[in-house]
Amino acid sequence: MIGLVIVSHSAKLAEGVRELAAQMAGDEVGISQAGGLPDDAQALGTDAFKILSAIEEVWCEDGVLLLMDVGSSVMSAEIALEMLPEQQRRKCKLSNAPLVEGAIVAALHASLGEPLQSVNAVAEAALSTPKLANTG
Amino acid sequence: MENRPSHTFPQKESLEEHERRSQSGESGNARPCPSDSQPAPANNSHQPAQSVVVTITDPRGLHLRSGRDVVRTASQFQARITAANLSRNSSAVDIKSILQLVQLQARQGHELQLAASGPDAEAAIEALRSLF
Repeated sequence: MIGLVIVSHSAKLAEGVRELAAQMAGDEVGISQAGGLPDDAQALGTDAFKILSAIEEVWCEDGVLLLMDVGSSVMSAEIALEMLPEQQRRKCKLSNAPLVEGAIVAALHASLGEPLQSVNAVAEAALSTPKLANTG
Repeated sequence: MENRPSHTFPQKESLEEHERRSQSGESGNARPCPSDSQPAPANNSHQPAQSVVVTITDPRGLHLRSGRDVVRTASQFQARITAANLSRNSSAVDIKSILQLVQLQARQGHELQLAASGPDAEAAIEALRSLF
């Protein structure tokens, strides 16, 4: 079963998204968060070392999917992956999914035991699933 | 209905089974849907398409957590399973997708038509109707 990492500029947002994801996944899926800067939890920003710790917290052989909010959270996540040993890095994936929808979908499908690539594919499908569709 | 060829009997039996459960109070708010409203089953499917209409009873409507349980149950089956919100006149969505399911914006009292096609369609509908 894969692990999930929630990356956000805001520690509060990361915690809230993790809470949502955990509700969808139940207890079996490891979900960690990396929000805000290390020195000041209230300061907005992302930090590669914090993300690295979050990956190690939920590390498993099935892989780890990272979900980021916007902008430099992607860069920080890339740097975190570069710091990992090669055999771990190969099993980590940055998702293109939107953070909230992606985390909800990824958590649910991770809990169904789906592999990393499948979970990411269904999370990224959130990009083309509007909230207001189908309500005629 | 009476002139159906024999290979469609499983569906007829399942409808009768639904009626029986309905009359004996086992089915909650689910009721079977006439097969005439469904598209013709594919020639190569093992079972005809199955369909049922359920009513949302939860005062908070079909929300994320109840939707999660629907997706988890639906994912156990190979059948293609869709739901349409009849009360909103919506088109059918894939209920193995949580984001599509919540697109139905189903409030308390809304009627959803669940439809399944594939080898385990009947079992899928039976499992899903008990969630509503």
